[in-house]
Amino acid sequence: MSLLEVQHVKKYFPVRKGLLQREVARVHAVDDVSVSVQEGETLGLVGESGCGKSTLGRTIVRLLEPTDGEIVFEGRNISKLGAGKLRPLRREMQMVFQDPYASLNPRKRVGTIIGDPLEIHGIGDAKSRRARVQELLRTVGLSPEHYNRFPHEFSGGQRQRIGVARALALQPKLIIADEPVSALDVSIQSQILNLLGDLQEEFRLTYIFIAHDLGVVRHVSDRIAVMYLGKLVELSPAEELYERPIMPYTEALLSAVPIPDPDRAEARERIVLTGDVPSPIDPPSGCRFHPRCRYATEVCKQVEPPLTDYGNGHLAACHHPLNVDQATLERVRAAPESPAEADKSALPVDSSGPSNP
Amino acid sequence: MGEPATGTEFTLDTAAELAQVEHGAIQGRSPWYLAWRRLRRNYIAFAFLGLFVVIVLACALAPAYASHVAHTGPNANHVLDTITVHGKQVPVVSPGGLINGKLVPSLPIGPQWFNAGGRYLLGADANGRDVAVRLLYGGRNSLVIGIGSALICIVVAVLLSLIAGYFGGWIDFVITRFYDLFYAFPVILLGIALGSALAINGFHHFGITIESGSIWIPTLVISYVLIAYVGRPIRGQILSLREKEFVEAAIAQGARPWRIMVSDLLPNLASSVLVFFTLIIANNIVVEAALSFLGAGVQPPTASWGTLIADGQTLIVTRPWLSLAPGIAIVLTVLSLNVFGDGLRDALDPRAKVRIEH
Amino acid sequence: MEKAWHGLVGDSNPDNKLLSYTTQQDVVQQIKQGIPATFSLTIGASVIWLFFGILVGVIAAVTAGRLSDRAITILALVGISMPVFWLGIVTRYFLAEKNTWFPDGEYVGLTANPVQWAYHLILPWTVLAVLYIGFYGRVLRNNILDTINEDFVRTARAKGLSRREVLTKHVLRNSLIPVVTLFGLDFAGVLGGGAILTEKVFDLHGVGWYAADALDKFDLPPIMGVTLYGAGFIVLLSVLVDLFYAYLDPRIRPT
Repeated sequence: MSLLEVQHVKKYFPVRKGLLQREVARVHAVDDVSVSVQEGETLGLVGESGCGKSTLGRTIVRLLEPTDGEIVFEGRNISKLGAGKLRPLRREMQMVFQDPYASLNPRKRVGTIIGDPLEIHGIGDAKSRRARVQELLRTVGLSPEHYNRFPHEFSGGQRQRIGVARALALQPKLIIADEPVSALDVSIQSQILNLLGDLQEEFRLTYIFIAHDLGVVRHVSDRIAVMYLGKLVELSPAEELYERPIMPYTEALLSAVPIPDPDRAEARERIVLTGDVPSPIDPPSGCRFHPRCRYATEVCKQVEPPLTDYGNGHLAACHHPLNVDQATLERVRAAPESPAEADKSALPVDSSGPSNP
Repeated sequence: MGEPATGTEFTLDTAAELAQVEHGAIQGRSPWYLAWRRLRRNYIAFAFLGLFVVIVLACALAPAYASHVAHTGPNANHVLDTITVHGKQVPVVSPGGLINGKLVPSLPIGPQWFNAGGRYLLGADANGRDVAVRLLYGGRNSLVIGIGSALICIVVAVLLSLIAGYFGGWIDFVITRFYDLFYAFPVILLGIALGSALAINGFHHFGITIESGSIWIPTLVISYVLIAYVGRPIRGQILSLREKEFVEAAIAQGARPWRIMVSDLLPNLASSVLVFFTLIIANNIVVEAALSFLGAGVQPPTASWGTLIADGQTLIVTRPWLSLAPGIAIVLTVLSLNVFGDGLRDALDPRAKVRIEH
Repeated sequence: MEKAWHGLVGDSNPDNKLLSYTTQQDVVQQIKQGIPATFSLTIGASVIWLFFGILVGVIAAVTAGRLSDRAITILALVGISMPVFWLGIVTRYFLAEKNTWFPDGEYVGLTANPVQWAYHLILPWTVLAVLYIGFYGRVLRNNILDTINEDFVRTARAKGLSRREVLTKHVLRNSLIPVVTLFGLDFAGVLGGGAILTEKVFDLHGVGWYAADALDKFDLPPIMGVTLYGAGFIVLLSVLVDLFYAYLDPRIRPT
């Protein structure tokens, strides 16, 4: 059984205007996303800023109310639970935040920051909590003597370690890390990534690792989910995604990852996406990526491609899948709800498209 | 909000801290301590704090001065009494009437300084009351009203703004509209409208009874009128704090709303609330004086700096000290609080903007 | 609202007019009579306080940290700390009573005698302006010092504009935006009877004086009437300020 099942989750933010605060529009931050997370794995969640990945993460831990859909955690639907019933479940899932400065209360001592979750859930007495916090400090590579210090006395990397220790305090099963290294110096990033990796082994943690570029998540993720404008567009085992991206958007993201070998970098085709990300208030029709996609055809403008299983746990939502061989394409097209099915009902299939490179 | 010495800005304090790290110090330096260190170097602010403390102490010792030096009470009339100045008997209030064919108005004695053994140091008013005694007792009332109304105002404003800023939505809508209502009236006019209505009948609602002469009336009126002026900027701060990730972290840990308000939001507000408090006391002392001067604040015969100025106004040409003395007392008190508040803000929270209203 | 008005006016009043308890005069009529004096006081004082407030603020900011800045800062604090009515009593005593350099109170209509009008108003104008000069000077000084450190100012200097040009075209324009808001609201407040203390001290028979006079007799209807009149002005002026704000700051557009 998977630890977490996200089913058709939507999160819309109302845009209000005027004296009466009338709702005039909605931001489609997360629009019908389904994904499951297995115990012990790391799911990378990738996309440009504004694609809804952070919103999805915050909706999963119920910092935000889902507009629709179900969030099933350990077989229990938590999407509609009230604050009181949710409280014991908070122990099971914690979050590591992006900004190491804003995420620690500047008026609290480190010991209080890490010990607060224990106090909130009434775990242990003051003395045992203190011992636990000191143990946690050691676990994340800080000195237990830092107990009485304040956040402003630490560097960004050290602060992020404090944030990790705070998330660990309740021994959660799932940790959602929202761009935990993007605010840090490159030299510090790998230290935090290694720490997260070590902790996963030690405590059998499950991660949802949110990032805005594919470079960082490659090394930590078992599977990677790519989001674009509120939609899940591709979900694949990590290595497979890097070798055979199906969705043209993923291809474009991959081409932006720096390659240390200059010869290989030279040989690679650099795909520069033209145009801006469209507004999530009024997303494009059909495939949301079509205005910026170099393979887009008429069908993309009109029919939204469903998320289709291409085998090997590799899912993508595209009318013109890349890197897929003829046999797989045939098989997929025979299955119901395939892109081809959708194609047939709308427009003639463009068989000479880029799907067979 | 004041987040002193983050990693991005290297200040002298940070340098000192780094030196400290090298020496293996364990105890953290709290933001309060850092602010204190900045404040400690501001000698001007401290001098004015000293002045304020002296004024408060003098007013607190009013009963001792009245009984041991002036030998009279704040409301005791001495129209027909005489005192000894340099061995001569002098009437406290010289009777008026036709003298040598000229109409002379009755006149209280002027400042005696120390000629009368400390009695009538600043002279007498038209009722023969000792102005120095009334100045100290009036100061007591003015300070009590100023500090008391500032306290009530801040507590209510912080509470309302915490609720509005934390919960948002319709609760925030209702509370901000409530604030807007106050902004539509000039402070003094709203104050005299409420103050005069309550001064006539007192307050007898919700099981609370306040008599019409009580200094509770100006205290409550002033705190009520200024709630919005304190509440609105504080709400703004809470809204920006509310967006901080540490609040999200607390929610994700399962903290209840009141816990987040008390342990996460309030400590981050504390520094600006402290600055507000200092400056609002200063402001409220002026508002009290204005309301009392107009007759909508402290009611006679109770003394306050505002009523003393009003009382003295009729004798301004012959006995200017009656109005000058309480005015100077107000200026010194308010100035000392404003200067200290400024220093406090520079030390604690350089970005807080406080508006003085009167 | 209707009901509240009836409660205020009283049931026995057939014309539905707000009448004073003591004089039985129509309150609205009396407020109208006070408007010339109040407007004369407010407009004159606001010109003074705006001019000197900006002057003082700019001088302090340009010479920040130097002696003139410190002197201005201290004087501004003293000005803010002085109760306006006490300052009024003191100036009236020293300048109009002890030495009779200025007329002792009273209002002379502008149409009746413009010279006497201004002569009678010089003291009240100055007294009323002192508080606001201190206040605006401080606000403007801090705004200018904040703006000077902004990137766009550095850019303007880098592209070759002179110090003076940068100060007038970029810094001052941006620093004045908050001052405009303050000015709109303060102006409305004073116009709406907020100058009650100054009017009372100098015996200017304006709207505020009318309320203060009624207060001496605990005559509530005029006080309520003046308070509502003041609220009307503040609401009107806040709308105007918002529009002017949008003109000054293109980032804000009325929706």
